[in-house]
Amino acid sequence: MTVYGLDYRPGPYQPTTRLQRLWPLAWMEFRALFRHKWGILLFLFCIGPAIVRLVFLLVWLGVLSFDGRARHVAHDVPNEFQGFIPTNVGFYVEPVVAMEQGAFFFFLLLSAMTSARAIARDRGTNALELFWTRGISPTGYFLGKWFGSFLLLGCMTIAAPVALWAIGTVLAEDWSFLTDTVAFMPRVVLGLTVFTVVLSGLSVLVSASSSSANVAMILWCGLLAGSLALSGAMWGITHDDQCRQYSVFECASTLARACTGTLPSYASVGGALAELGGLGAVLLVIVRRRLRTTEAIA
Amino acid sequence: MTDAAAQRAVLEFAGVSKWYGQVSALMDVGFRVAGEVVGLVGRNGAGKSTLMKLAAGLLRPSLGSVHVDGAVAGSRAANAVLGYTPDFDRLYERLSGREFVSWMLRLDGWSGRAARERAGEVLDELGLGANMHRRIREYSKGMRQRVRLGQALAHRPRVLLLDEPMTGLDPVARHDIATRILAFGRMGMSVLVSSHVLHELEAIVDRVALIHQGRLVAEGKVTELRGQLKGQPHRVRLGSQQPRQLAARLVGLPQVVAFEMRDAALDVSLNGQPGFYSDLTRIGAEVGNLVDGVRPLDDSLASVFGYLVG
Repeated sequence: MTVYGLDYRPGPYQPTTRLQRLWPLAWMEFRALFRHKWGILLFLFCIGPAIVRLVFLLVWLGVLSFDGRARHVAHDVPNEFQGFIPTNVGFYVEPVVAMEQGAFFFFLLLSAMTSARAIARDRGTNALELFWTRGISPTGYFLGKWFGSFLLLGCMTIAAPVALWAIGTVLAEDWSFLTDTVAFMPRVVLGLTVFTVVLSGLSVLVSASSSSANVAMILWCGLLAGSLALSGAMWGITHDDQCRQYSVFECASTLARACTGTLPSYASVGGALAELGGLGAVLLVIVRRRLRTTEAIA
Repeated sequence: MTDAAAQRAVLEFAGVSKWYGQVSALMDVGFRVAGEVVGLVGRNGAGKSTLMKLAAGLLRPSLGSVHVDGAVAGSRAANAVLGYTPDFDRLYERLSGREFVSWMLRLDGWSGRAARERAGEVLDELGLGANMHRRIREYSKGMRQRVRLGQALAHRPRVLLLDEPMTGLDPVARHDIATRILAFGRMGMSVLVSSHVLHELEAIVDRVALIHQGRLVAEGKVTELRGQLKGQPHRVRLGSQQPRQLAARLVGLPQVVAFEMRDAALDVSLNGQPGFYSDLTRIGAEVGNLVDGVRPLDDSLASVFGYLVG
């Protein structure tokens, strides 16, 4: 009989830290999108607004001159376009959180294709069984997936604005750009991090409560777009700006704006926290049941 | 005690019952697997997969206990010595076989480099060396089974749970996987394997545990189990060029219940009374060249299974 030389001496049992187990899970989730050419194209498409801002930044700095006319236009923007000036907070925050600038569409697209599928995809293939026998607890598994999704979405929502700022600092003619922006950048990073943590967390919760990846995508799109439609309809009826905050996306935007100090007068941080917290709690109750292994019996 | 014996990890079910609401999936199941290959046999819905999941710690018993190497199933100590191959083959399709196994090892806490090296080693040994860098979605069913087996073996477990490891494979791949499972048992691993391919399972297991409607109906070596089935007639095939003459000599024996004539053989049903084989030897000596060979027809696992559960 052939014994194949598999050398089954027992592996030394060394308890490992939770982080050692979570990181591979998060890293795999992060890399999943970039394993396919369509995933890379999707990512590039979704950071399109940042690329547009980069062009504007380069024009503003004079790196792209277009015969000297473009810089003049960039420095004389009307008041309603102050968010396009790189020394303003809005230049870094609004492309990510402002509904009017298409941020909702790009975020919805990327999150629906990645974080909303993260756990539902594993459930659909029964891969959860493998994870539970690998020393990963359901909580650890959820946190790993959340962290991986946060890293991926954070490339669009945090890394891209920070990269714009870094490019601006390096290419500026003097230190004035840095001195004008360094005071608010930590708040920008904090606000965008809160925004990403909240929405990536909710999308992974939706994923964990769904039976398949496609169902999770539909539910997540329904939740974001549905709450947006509801808030829009209520605003249309009441003309009360507070109604805009019924949208889940707008709630997360409110938290981000509160951190960066650009909160609109109608927005309520308490209301946003209550809505997001309530939604998270409901999803958490569902997920606690759904992340258990069950066996179909005849 | 030899080193191999000292390293044997025991998988032990003690009075295990499992209910799903009002439905009973398992009732008072108890047996142990210690450095051997035990086959888990039962119909669909009998409770085999539930038992596997209990051993893997994926489910908790409603009553009783499951221990892996002395640790409660599902605990980190138990998972450290356990390798589990679930009954699905939809793995991470965009990863290569090596990446997948390596990733599973990293989830076990292995460092990146050690995990990659070990993954390559185990897949090479399982015959996937040339294809380990291809994406899993390009793999055949047999190659996927090897990847499943590889991820279960890579961390050098001492207890192996194989849920339907030969389902959907072609005969060559089935034989290959079966041979490897046999080798695992010879190395002192405790292997619990479920399969519907009973004749192949029979060839690789030391013992069987037969589950029916959630109960452990029988447990032990197949031949021992068959020997204990006194109420069932044994069937033997007697090779003979003169089956009619042979039948005429056997018809008076008290053990013989029925005959079935074949081209160059005679199938005989026996009632289990002792003395048939000594009588057969006597007849062979008297007549000469009447019996070419004797082959039991229902000592197989399939027969035992059929007799016990109908």
